[in-house]
Amino acid sequence: MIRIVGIVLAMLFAFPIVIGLLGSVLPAFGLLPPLADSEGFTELFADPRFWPAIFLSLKTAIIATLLVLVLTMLALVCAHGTRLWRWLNGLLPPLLAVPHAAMAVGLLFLIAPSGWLVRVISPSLTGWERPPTLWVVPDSSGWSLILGLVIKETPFLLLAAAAQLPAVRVDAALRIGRTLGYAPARCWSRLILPLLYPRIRLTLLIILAFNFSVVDMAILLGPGNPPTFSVFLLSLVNDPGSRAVASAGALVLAAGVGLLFGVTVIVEKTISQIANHRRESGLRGNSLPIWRVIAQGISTGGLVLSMLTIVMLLIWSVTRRWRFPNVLPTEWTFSHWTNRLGEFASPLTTTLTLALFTTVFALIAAVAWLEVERREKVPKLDWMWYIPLLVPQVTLLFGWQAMALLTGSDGKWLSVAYSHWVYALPYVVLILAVAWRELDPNWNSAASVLGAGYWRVLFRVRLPLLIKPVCQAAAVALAVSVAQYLPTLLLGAGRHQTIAIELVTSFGGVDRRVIAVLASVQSILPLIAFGLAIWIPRYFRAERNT
Amino acid sequence: MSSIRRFCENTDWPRNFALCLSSVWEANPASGIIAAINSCNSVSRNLTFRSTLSGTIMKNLSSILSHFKVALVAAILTSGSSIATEVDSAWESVLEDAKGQTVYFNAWGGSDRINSYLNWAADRVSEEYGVTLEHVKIGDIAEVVGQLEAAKAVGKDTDGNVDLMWVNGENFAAMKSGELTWGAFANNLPNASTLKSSESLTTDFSVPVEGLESPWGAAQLVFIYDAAVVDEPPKSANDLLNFLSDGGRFAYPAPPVFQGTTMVKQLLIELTDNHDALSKPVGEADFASVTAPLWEYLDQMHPMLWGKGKTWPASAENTRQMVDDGEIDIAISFNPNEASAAVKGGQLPDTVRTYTFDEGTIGNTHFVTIPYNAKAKAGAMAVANFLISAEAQARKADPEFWGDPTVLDIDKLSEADKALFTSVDLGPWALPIGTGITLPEPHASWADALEEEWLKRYGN
Amino acid sequence: MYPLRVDNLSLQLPDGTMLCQQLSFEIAPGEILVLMGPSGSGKSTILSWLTGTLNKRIRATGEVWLGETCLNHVAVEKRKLGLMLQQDYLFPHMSVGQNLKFGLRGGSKSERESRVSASLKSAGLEGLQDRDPATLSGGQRARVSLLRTLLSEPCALLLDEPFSRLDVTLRGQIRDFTWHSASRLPTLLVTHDEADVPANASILDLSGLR
Repeated sequence: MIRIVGIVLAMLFAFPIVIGLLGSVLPAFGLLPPLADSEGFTELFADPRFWPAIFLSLKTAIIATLLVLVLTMLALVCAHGTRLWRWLNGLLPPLLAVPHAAMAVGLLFLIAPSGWLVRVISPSLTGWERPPTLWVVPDSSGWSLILGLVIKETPFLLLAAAAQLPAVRVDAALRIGRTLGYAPARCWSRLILPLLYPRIRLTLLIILAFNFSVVDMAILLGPGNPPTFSVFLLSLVNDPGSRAVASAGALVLAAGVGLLFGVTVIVEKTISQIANHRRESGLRGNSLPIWRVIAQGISTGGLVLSMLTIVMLLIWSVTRRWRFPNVLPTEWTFSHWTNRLGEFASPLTTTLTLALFTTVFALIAAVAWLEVERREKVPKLDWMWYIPLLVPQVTLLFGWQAMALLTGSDGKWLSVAYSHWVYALPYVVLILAVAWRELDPNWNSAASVLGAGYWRVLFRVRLPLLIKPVCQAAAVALAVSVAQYLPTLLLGAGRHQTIAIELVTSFGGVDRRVIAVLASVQSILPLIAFGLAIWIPRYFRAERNT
Repeated sequence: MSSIRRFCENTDWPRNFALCLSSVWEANPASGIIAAINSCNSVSRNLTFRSTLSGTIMKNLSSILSHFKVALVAAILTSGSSIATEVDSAWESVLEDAKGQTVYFNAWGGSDRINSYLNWAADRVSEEYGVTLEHVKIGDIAEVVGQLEAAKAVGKDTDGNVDLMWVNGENFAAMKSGELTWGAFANNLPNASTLKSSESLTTDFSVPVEGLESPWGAAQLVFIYDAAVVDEPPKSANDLLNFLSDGGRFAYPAPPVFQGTTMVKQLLIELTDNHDALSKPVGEADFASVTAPLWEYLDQMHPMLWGKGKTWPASAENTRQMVDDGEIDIAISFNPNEASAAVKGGQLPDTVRTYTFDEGTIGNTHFVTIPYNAKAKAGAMAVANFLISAEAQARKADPEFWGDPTVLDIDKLSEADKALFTSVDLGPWALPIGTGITLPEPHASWADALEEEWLKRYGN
Repeated sequence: MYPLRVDNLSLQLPDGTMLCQQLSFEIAPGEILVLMGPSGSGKSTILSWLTGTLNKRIRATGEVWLGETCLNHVAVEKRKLGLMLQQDYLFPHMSVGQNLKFGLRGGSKSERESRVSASLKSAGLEGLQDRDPATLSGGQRARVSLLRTLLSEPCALLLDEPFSRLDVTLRGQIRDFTWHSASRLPTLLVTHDEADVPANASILDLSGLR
């Protein structure tokens, strides 16, 4: 019985992945008439936009990921144990709730020649009465996109790394290393980072895959001509004559991610070889306070920049007139919020129903899976959960869309909800797994001895004991569902308008005020969820204590 | 035979055919209309299909058949029933069917004002016809055309996801040639009688409309500038070049963004000597020689643009934002009243003005159409009819709400309806009424060819 | 070698509790001072203060001197105070030999090799260079850990209950090894176990000082 539950669950999860890959592979080789009956690859390679787009994507992904890694290390080394660290830990989690695209819009307004950073110093310091023409945003080389990816992904990696610090006993390592005479930076590079890196490697690979295949940020911040490879692909997918080309492209995208992973592993091996030798040298290094100050400055700068993008959006949401070179709006209004309350009702309802469905079923599936795993001693299939996070979304989605069209299941609510579930489940399983596996089995036996049946033990002992990770996992599932744009768009066939879709379509209108309002609404939902995830376990504890 | 052919050329036969059939199916005239349009389409579709199969014999047969169809129409039409009452009763039953239907209207969702306008329209059609109107906000209607082509490829011929869509130009041409439109519904709409009788409503980028789409609004390429910054804006292509070399700031969206393509077409019309070639399919022209002056011009112009020809604004809306930010001096728009709406909405300073080039700019009409596999066809017709009511068009023309020029002929309206339009205040910001010569769009096939060549030259 | 001296050390917790007041002592090279007291009496906090890694929220006054040098404003890594904790903290990503080389200061490549093997030999751990620390026994780990500290050439040795986690049978052996190795350094031992105290040591009992 239990075994069957496990098999069904694994199938439910693996089915769409297999379908998605098939739906991309078959048309690419012209094997899926009537949707595609030509060879996609020859046409793809012949497209003049192909190579420039690939190079642009590789360049932005590699540089952005490297910068994310370097900045994370810098922040860890220079800020850990200082007041700045507490600021980072307090301010970064809410940043994760802000949609990528919203952040991109805020960033555009910050760094443009007519943007806020120029306005602050103009015309008083610069003499610029009109925006300078020295640079344009977004630029043609992809640096705006790189900056956007860096300020959005660095908090993600930094928080992932911060969560692993206790496991690598960072305080002890610093203490031992320093009393052996090593400067703090050396303690990090020789004692802590070699242990920390394997623990954040997967997060880094997820970031790398994301940076390579990102769509929404690349549309807003990336060069448009040629665009990044994933944007180029998306422009093909709805052109039925190009489905074979689009599918071939989706496979190239997945292969690109694979290639990047391979390169990462090789680089990692090389660096660890070198580091291994250097560790034996016994050279203590000097602590250079100036570097520490510079590094802290960079970290603080990044934090301030991220926060400013959000502040800019919030100001725009209540702006009527705000022209260059005014530092603040000259006319304010709340009408963008009030006019719109009625219009939010329908997309908000769709967003919430999808999110609740996703959350509930992801939790049920994850708990069921972990129980199967615990009771049946089946092999841990952790790698399976990572597939949707590592395979580019565009690749899976092209396949799903093709299959949905063939079976007529596009535009169905359940298709959309299913796709959200596939993307939320991995996070839920991975968050719950650690706590679930580590929970002392004696709790179970203690309860069983008292005569409690299986379900009673599960609901009255295990789940209440694990209320904190369960709530966290639920909040993440909800946030993942709220943020899904491409699956909702491509599988929903426009029938299911969510806030995420409203937000992305609002970019067409280029009205920062509308975008700001929608982005705020989209950020508030996960923030509420994360708030509840903190509050609910406390509430239960407080209840018990009274 | 020749008299029948003349009839065929002069008369809007699908509409009449449908009406006549509707009198045949008196029990349910609405389904009659719908079925009639369906059958017309399927007949012609089958004919096209067969003609590709067996060449001239079938072609001849098909022409015989279509003549037969027209003869049938003529026979029924002359049988003497009053057309007016037919319209009324047929339309009544369309509305009967429409009641309770949900119409998924796929329309560009990038503009806040348009979205609000459609919200209002949804309230009104719900009151008026009991139709639930859902605005499906999309980024580019070409995507929807693509989805329809895919649906057609896999044979999803009923219960489609799209009931009504906002199209024109290349997308309409693609739908028409791919037989993705449902049928000649547009002329059956009661409000169609008050439409302007102008060529831009009956041909869409030189492609005959034939009732397959219903006009919704007029558009013309205009330029918006801030009079507080620019004294004398450039009024021709060559002026624009001088303006740029004097340090003026300008940018247009890169093709295939449609306003960018329109700008390129506009420049081509001004720069080429061979105007005749533009109104015919591009395949019939010597593309290289017709367009040579255009590329020479663009080669000169691009290094002087904002972004130096390496970076381009994402859309026309972007250029409006850039004028407000001061990054460029002149925005392009496809709506002569946009500036007025934008000033009222706080998106542009009240010092902006709108103008066209002295020799005119490209103008066209945008339409709504019903896809062949739409589920709520009656509801979609009800909505399309509402969209060309005096009430809806007057509100649409008001920059307070949208500010899109009407497709109605004001003179054909009742006094009360006329009053709706005279109360609209465009302010000094919109294109002054009576100015701005409208030039016709080149044939729809030019867009693709120009875009391809543009991308080849300036794509990297 | 210089004596290690503490003058007038006072430690105050954020809630106002005093861990110690006006504590002064001096340890000559080769001498062992034992800080005794139950857990929570502030023994480990004093060690943290000595190494310069005290939690910033604890208020400390007083001075620490190594011979003629006041260490108060010297960076942790320059104080040259060797530290041994309850846990051995052998770095899991390095072999035994690498752990030792990490502690060892200076020398050419071949000198370093020979010093590491010599010190392993002196501790009865001959030939274990390439072993993963995880495969060593508790006693072996403790010895490697002490060797690593000694190879860093400390000027004084601070031991924070280094024997408490060891097997009872091993403790005596490790204690002897420790006292033998540390015979030329001023040594401060923190413990709550009287059996840890060597014969020649002086004792400072913190339980009475509060």
